[in-house]
Amino acid sequence: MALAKKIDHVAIAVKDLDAAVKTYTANFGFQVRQRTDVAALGIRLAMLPIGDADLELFTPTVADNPPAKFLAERGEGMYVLSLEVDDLDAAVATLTGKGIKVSTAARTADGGGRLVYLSPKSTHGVLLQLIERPMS
Amino acid sequence: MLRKIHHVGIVVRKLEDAYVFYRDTLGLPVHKEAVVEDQGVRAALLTIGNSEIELLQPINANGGVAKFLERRGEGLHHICFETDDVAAELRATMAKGIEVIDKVPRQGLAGMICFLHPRANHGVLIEYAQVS
Repeated sequence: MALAKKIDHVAIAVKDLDAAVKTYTANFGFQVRQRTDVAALGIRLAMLPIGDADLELFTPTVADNPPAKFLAERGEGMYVLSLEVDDLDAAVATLTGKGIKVSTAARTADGGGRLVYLSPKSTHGVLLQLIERPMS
Repeated sequence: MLRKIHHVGIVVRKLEDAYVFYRDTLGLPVHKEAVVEDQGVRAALLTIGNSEIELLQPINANGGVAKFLERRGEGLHHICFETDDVAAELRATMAKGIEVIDKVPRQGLAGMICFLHPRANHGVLIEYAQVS
């Protein structure tokens, strides 16, 4: 059985959140279902549903966090691929057992649930997030 | 109308090496693998829920994927939205004045596909696909 069951969201780093929301709603007809200021992470984000997943457009609100460095070095673009798992602790145990580096301890996700990041060194260059959503 | 994320494309050096993580560790089944000559890649689609992860390995030094790999290394490359009618979707996109790479749909791994220009979408290479 697959460890990851679906794409939860794809996060896109942008310089101007309002401009990006305007682009994605005008170009593709997407709607914003939620906007959040995540002060703890130094980002502002907007979630735009597509099928059973979301596009997350986000912009850093501080000058020196990893997304701000990403924007300065590489410009706007895809930043995180988030995959949903049923049991985060079991997934982390399996991955750790196979020598995969899980880069942060589980933390609470915006919108509910818990998440971890895997090192891009283990995922062929992808900042991969695993997220466990709360039972609905 | 864009229905869902059909796939997220990831550029890798070698498919077999990437299978160790995406197929064997994450457990995602490979349901299609093929050479797509006009994109200069060997590509594989791995199923995840209602979507796919597409792994792309360049097969020559001149294609866009090879240049991406050389410039930025392995990593996230594009996102593909599924549509019922790729030709109509592309026409509507061009009518809005959105910059595109393909002015007419062409054959891709997923079906008939087209790419929009990353400049038009905040640095994201976006693909439409009509599954065949």
